[in-house]
Amino acid sequence: MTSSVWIRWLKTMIVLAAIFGAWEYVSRAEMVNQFLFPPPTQVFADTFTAFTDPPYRSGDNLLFQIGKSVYRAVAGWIIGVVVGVVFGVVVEWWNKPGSVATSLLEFLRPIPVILFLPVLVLVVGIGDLSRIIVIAWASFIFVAINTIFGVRTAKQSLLPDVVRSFGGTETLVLRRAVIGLAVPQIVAGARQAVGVALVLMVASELILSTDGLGWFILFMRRSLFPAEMYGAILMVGILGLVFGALFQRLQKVILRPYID
Amino acid sequence: MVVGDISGMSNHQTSSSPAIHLKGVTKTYARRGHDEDLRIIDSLDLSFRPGELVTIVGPSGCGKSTILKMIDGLTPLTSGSITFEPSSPKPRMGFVFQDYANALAPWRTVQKNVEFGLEIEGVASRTERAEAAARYIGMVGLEGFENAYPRELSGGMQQRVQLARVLAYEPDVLLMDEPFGSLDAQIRRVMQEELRNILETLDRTVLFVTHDIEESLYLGDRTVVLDHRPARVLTDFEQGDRTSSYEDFVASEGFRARYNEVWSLLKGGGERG
Repeated sequence: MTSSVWIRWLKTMIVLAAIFGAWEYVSRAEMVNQFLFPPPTQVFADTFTAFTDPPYRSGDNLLFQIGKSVYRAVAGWIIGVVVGVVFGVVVEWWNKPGSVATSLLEFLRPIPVILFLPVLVLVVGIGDLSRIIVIAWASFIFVAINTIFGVRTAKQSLLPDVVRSFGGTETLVLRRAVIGLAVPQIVAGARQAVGVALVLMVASELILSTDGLGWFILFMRRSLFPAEMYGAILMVGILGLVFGALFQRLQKVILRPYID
Repeated sequence: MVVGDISGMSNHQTSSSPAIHLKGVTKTYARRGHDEDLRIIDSLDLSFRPGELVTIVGPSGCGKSTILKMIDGLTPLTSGSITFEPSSPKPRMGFVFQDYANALAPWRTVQKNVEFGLEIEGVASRTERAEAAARYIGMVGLEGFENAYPRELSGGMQQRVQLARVLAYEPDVLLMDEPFGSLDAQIRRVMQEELRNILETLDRTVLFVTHDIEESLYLGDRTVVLDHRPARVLTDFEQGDRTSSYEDFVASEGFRARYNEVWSLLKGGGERG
């Protein structure tokens, strides 16, 4: 078991080394413009410096910008998950067949909520709240849709009849049977929301913003600091890996009874 | 501790199984594309005495499971009535479903699944629930698996969990809907013998539905044979002394005569249907 994990780790490192090695060579050999495509060693070095000492004269360092972004993503995701679960359970549990809730959500899902960000900024200001609302909204839609389908399937399963057979009220059917059965589907929705929260974290900071990782990437591009820009983009990827791994942990704990 | 035990006992009346009377029970389902409804059960009259162990045997789809669900109040009757005698307090039903995998809560351990009925009923005392669960987990032979999740158990063991759950609830009437129908033949034999031993100590009304003639004759003190749709009673008989072992019983002259009788009745019904 552990040896296969190590082999996988080793393979990943070899692939990464090959990619960065090729990039380094292409840049150093001047096969591309070295200023626009600085070698990874320079990207790492400049980005590392920017963590504490950014290239702009005044303002917060890269570490602060990452913290800002993570705060918005996590806050938005948590709000979206909580509201999505509550909304999904309430709507589907008291749903008469043919309700419009799922159609409405399916209609709203493909609309890029980020289009409303400029309006949102006018209403709630340029700070954290507008970004958190965008992230929460997108997370909410994914979680609500999954919760609705989870509850729908659970309502039609056998366990509600078990509760009724033991003399349980419909409230107990919901609390003791339906919600528990819907958990795996709710978790699936929350996992989709992690991905969308990350994308919107960066995207929302590209519009009318003064801070955050997205703003930093944009600002470095405009100020002609390509190394810092690439470094910040790599940070987004690393955040994705970290969030993915953390969610995997959470999921393992929650779903332990359900799947092998 | 002692006080708690006494109050616990008062929750569960000892053996107050009611008599059950079905009068003119009819069940129909609307069918798509048909003007006429599908008649599953047609004015069925049946009575069960307190403490009786009755097996109900009939072909698949004859509505025998529906009868149990109607008695438990899970499915409404189209017409007719089901009454209990005495009618109050409302008799407590314990239902054992065939589909054990979906009848258990996957997120609960064996222990917590067995406590499920008591929890729904509102037995607030944790220790009381745990004690009842432990007793019946032992009775169905699942000691050592208290903390396992259902998915970690075999089909036979999952059905044992369901059985323990219903026994821990201490119902006045036990309704069993083909509980061994999805188990392989060997496990089924073992569980049939164990169930008989358990039920003999219970002294409660048990209605056991099956399509397996052998099972119905082995387990039932009384056997009701139902026709194919709509369900009607083809024959209804009591069996005598039931002390013999499974092997002796199946080898006996009486068993073979009964088996052939029931089989010829069901075969006739099946051909007509």
